[in-house]
Amino acid sequence: MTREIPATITVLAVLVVVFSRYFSVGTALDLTRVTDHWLMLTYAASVLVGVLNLTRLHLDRLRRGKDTWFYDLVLLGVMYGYIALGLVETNAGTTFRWVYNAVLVPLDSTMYSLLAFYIASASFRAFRVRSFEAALMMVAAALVMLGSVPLGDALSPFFPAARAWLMRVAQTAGFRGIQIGAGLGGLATAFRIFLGIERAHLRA
Amino acid sequence: MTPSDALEVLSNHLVPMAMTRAQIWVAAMATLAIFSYVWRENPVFRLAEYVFVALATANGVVMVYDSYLKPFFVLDVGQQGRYALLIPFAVGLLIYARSIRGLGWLSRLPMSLWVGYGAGYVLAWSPQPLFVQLRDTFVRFYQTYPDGPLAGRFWPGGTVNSVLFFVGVITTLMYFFFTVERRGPAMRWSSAVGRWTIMLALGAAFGTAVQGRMSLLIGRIQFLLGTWLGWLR
Repeated sequence: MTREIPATITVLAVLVVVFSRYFSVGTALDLTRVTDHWLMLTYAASVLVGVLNLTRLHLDRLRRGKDTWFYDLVLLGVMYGYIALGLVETNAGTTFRWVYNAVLVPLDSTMYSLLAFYIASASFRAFRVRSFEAALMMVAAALVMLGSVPLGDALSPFFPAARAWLMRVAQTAGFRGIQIGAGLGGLATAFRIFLGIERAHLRA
Repeated sequence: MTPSDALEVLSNHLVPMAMTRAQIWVAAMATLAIFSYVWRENPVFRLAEYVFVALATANGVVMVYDSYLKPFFVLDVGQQGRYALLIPFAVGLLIYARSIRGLGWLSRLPMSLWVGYGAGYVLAWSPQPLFVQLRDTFVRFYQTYPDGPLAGRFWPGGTVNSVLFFVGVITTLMYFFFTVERRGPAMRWSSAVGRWTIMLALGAAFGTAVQGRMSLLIGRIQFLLGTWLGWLR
């Protein structure tokens, strides 16, 4: 029963979505909108999974007396404090938005901008021209970057034109092939789930 | 919640306020704390990292509460009496059963619903864009100038691009075709050309990704030197 009921729910969920898409009765009942709304509610109900996982992890570290105790306390305090603040004054509240704009937004964009340094060091390692393929990738990346900045345009009109060609022809062709392959793979996996051959999610 | 309400919640969240001097200082300290990692891993960076994880998680919870849970309880259930909606909500709550010994299997119910819904979505909605992409791959090789003084005349550049595009897509698919062993020059060469096409595509994507990160980096440096220190005009 512990596996049969979830497997049945999976098959029923597939049938409901397919029925609402392909059959006029399903369209007339506006099943897609109804089921989408129901699904969003199930997602919303599970919103605390991340919070609970973080709480368990950091409480466990605190109990074990790890030397990260200060950071664990900060994380739990800030997380629950900010949730409480948001629940009291909503996400449009003055203090909530003050913290959002002054702390979260700069931390977020700086964290991502830090990846520029990682990418630079990663590209140094990856682009050492060891093969024809690596050279192709490096040349394509260099042309796209040079073609997008004023310096490239000032050096030669070749760079913007090469960038445009790479983006329009080479990149589209490569990703189109990958997308078609991934799309067919996705369809095959969906069929396997529907037929009950793929059951990895029932092992959780 | 109506679409306009949802838009208001979102716009409240996304449109930045003019920052006060105190906010600018706090934002500058947060920025410097993250940048300090370029020097090496240090306690200030770690503190900023933990604060970031805490705030991002809490922000997600508050957004979901304001966008879905609050309208659901207040409007849908409270005012309109749509009690049937409590069923999917209860199903979603079962995900927490995974922490309860003996009842962990109940968490498979929402999981199986999500997986089934996702699979159904793929079966119902993905074939159409997939076949559109397939159809658009088979463009006419012979191309003419679309506009300008030569409009309607043979366009050599466009024709070459159409051929290259078609060859690129087909050979990329050949590269991922593992059903037949790669013997013979036709299979080996088509696979090699596919690999070159993929490398060009990935190189272009990499260049675009680097630029995205660089623009973020420039934005933070502009904030530090301009908004915070006032050195830029």
